[in-house]
Amino acid sequence: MRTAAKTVPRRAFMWPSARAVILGAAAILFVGICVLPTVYMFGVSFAGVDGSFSFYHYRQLLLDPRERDLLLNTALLGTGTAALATIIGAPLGLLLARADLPVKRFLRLALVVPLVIPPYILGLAWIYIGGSAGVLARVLGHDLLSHWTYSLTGAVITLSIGFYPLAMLATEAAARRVDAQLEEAGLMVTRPLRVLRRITLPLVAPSIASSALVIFVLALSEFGVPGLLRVPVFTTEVFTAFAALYDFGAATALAVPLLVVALIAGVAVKLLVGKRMITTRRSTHSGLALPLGGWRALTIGSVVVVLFLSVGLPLTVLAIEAGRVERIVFAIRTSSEAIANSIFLATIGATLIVALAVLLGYGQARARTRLRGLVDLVFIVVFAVPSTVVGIGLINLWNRPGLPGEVYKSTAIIVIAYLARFVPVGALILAASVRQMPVSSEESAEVAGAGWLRSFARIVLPQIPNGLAAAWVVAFILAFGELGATVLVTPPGESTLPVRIYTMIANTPSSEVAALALMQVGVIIIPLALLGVLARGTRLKW
Amino acid sequence: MGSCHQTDSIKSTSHIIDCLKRFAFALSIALILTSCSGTQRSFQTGDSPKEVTIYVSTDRVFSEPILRAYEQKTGVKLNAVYDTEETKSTGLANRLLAEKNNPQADVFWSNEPVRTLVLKKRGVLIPYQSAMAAGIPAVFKDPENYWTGFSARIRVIVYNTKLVKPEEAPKSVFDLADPKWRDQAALADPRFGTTSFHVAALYAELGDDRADEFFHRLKANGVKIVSANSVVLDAVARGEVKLGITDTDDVNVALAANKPVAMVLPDREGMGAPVMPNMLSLIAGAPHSEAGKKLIDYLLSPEVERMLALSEAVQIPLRPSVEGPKNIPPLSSFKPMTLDYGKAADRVEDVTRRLQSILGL
Amino acid sequence: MDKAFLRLIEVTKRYGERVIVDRVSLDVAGGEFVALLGPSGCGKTTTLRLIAGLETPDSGEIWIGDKQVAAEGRNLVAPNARGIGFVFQDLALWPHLTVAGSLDFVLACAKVPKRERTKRITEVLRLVRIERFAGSHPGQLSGGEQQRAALARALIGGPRLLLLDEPMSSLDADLKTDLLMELAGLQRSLGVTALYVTHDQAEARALTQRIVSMREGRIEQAGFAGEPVNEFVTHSEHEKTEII
Repeated sequence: MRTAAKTVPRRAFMWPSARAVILGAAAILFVGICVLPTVYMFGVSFAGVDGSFSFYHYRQLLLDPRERDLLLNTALLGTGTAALATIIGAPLGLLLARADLPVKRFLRLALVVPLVIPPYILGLAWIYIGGSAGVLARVLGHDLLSHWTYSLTGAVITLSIGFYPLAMLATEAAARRVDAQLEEAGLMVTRPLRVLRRITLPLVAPSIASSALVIFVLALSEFGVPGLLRVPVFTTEVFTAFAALYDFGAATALAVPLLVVALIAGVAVKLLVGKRMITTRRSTHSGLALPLGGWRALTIGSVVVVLFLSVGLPLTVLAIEAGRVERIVFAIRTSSEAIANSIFLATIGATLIVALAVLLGYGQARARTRLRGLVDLVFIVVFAVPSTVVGIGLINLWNRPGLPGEVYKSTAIIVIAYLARFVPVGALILAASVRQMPVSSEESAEVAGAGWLRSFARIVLPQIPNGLAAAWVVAFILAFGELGATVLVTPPGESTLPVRIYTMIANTPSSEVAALALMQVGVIIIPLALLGVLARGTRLKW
Repeated sequence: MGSCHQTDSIKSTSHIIDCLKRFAFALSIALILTSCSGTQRSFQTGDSPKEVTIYVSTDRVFSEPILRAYEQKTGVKLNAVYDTEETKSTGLANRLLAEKNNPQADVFWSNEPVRTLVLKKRGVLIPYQSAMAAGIPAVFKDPENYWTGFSARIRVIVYNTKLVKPEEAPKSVFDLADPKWRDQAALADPRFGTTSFHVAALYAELGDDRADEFFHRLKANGVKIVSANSVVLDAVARGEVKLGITDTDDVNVALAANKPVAMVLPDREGMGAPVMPNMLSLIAGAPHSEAGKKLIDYLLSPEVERMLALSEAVQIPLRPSVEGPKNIPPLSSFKPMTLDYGKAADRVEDVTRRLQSILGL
Repeated sequence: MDKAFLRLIEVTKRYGERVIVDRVSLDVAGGEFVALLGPSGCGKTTTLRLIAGLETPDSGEIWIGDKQVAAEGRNLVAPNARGIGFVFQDLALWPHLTVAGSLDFVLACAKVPKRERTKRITEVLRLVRIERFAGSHPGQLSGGEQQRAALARALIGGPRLLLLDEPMSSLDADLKTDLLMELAGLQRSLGVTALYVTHDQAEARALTQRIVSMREGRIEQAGFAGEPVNEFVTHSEHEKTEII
């Protein structure tokens, strides 16, 4: 790949090619939408008490003895969640890609459900289960788990349940991309299970590591669960600086350690797998099929256990908590406008995210090696910026007279908030997809006389339908559930579902909260299930 | 087989491209429409009485019907942004601060005093003396007219009636530090929401040393700090703890749902129960300030106090003339904590930092 | 006995409606080097994959040695138990393993003790003349070296049957000729039975003892290629005994 990249003619020096113009525009959009709000906030953080340039907030940060504990908690929460979610998700992904499981399509959809439950709601469900007056305590007669529920361990487990589907989807997609011949070469010498372990697994390891990194950053920037389970981390600290002290500068300064942790994790993953990035070929046949044989019962049993713990139990507890069906029906009826809004905005948001991210991901994957690593790290760090920092930054950037102000007053600002937060994750997913694709197929299109645009639309995109679909679905889910930035920029009179739910639940009893949570889960699963059916119709395998 | 597969992927891609095209179309339409409506809006910003924007932190379930009623009554288009100052969002105060240089809101309706007073201090508000405020006692009005209070909630002790007999229930917030309630009391995070007001009020009332000492004892007694007042109530109703401190509206909602809870107005005899009025303020540089003033006038009317009293929020009218909710004693029947709201609010940041270290938050 | 070492009896494979391999019968004698020649899409690769056990025949029988490996629409013996070395069209070198590492993996799978493995790896690498690249990853090898690495992997287990699926299709002519000569010599010196799939008549003619032509899933004609050009036979008998 590297050698091939050198053979690309240096056209760009003679005139700006379509490629340079379009990728450049994408980069400018990325900086304008995703990076500037944060940069603006950092500007604020360097303003001292009297408004002049100062390191005041950062000095305060270094002097605060609490920082060490926060740093430790944050790092443990991130690594713990990334590890546990990967341990649960990666084997499931391999099974979905390779094993002869029954009702696979249903299993995949069911196993993705925890991802669409907002982590906060998942945390709530686990308190209903493991809290000192939860289901478990009632069944067992005494309180076993509450101490453990309200702890770092509890937060790690809750977040792992919420995020393991990402590891699962990433692993499955990667396993499906593995060149079938590599596995068949293995089948010539050993049994399928060993091929899976020694050939397939190492080949998908870079993808697994990337998804672990995404999970790490998600866990790092998650506020709801640590807030609920009382685990002090940087996100809760940033939140406190905003919500209790109204100190934008201090809040942004507090986000810095968070970004540094994300950066370190990013570098670590790069060093670990950087050299093992592998181009695989899409093969004409499906490769290794893993017959479960005698392990069938045990495997299906384990999948059912995961399904029960991550989907069945939380949803059942929420349903019991919600009590009556009418409540949920009522919740849906009164929220129909917000539901329509959310679906519309998340659809547009996810589509624009994918449109921008595919260009960025492509640019990143095809950039020179050193630049490539740097761009990846930029994506990771931008992704880790706490939502509130993004939200306040967006207000400051867009709420001004003229065209930006008009955008700010319209629902377009919500779409921009989605873009600001989730373009990096889309770009990470799509860069991985493009990297799997040999440069030669583009070069052959170029040789055949296709312009870059045509080659991109007809050669590159058709080779990464799985990546595009995965990025779109992840972007849709994240955008649909976005609250932190949306709640700050939603124009007067408008509302998205999470904003509405959240503004409704503040002082309502848990039964209502549970009903609303169930509704949100339902509302987000239905379009995804429809999409799944649609994808089946067009035989788009993901 | 190879060719077969290729057709598949071509099909799926053309489908994706198709979808992309459709979305691009839909989006451009949407952008054109929003920009049109945007320009319309900007043409109307010349203080049109037909439109008004309010940011509301009083629970949406209670505030929305009142605002809708205003819309129907006057025909003014009312745009609202709802939020609560609970521990799940950074709230409207941050938004108002961020929008300070190009305000979008006309009116801020806060459900408690602290945020309003922060905004006053940061120059987000502008004085407005409403003619409708006449019947409201002076203690609930800013001498400088930056804010006007109306319907109030009270901080109360809530207990589980299955676990605690009425005669055993504590009469004062200080009882929560009694070893009798060791590990059995809950309090919402005192850095946020109404609890932050409550603790600031305690510091203002007791002085730093006595207040610090009380919270040290509370901590030693194993008080559970939870994320929100509604969570306090939930924990009490479930029996996770026997009692806690929360707001009247939370308790009422639980009572309506037949949860086994009851409330005590704390310190009726001593320092008094902390009363938290809603507050209305006009935003400095509001795009529709005349319409905003009219909305404030409406919201300060006895009619609104009555509606809030009759709602599930059981807000206590500040006007003695308006009939209060059934299960909450009227203001005249107990001793309210004598408070200078401005002074109490001034303490919030400092108290937040103190409690962060005392309670290990 | 002149009994065939590899025997296909009326083997048929369909994908949906399309018949890819149509009642193919073929006998290959022990130690014989046979080319399966035909245009692309004629079913020759599928035939090879059926023999390897990577595809399941819809009907017909496949025998290797005196063992029936496939019959009545199912595989009786797993691919790794058939004693086959397979060189894939795209070589399919495992990118995460070094040349020696992948050979070691093959031997470990065959439960060869650690000490013996090292010895055999050195031998086979010398045989295909890439000892220097034992520690290299496939990405660091040239086309010809990759070819040799793939061949080494197919040979290291001591297969009784070597299946080659157009392994030289992407090489330039000179390199191809060299490698072909070497391969022919190796095959002869090792005495392994080999089936070589190609669409290149010259290649087939130069290399093998017999050419079997396929068209549209059927065997068209089986004949002898005449003596292969074998001045490049380079390896002695004792190497053969050690490898096998």
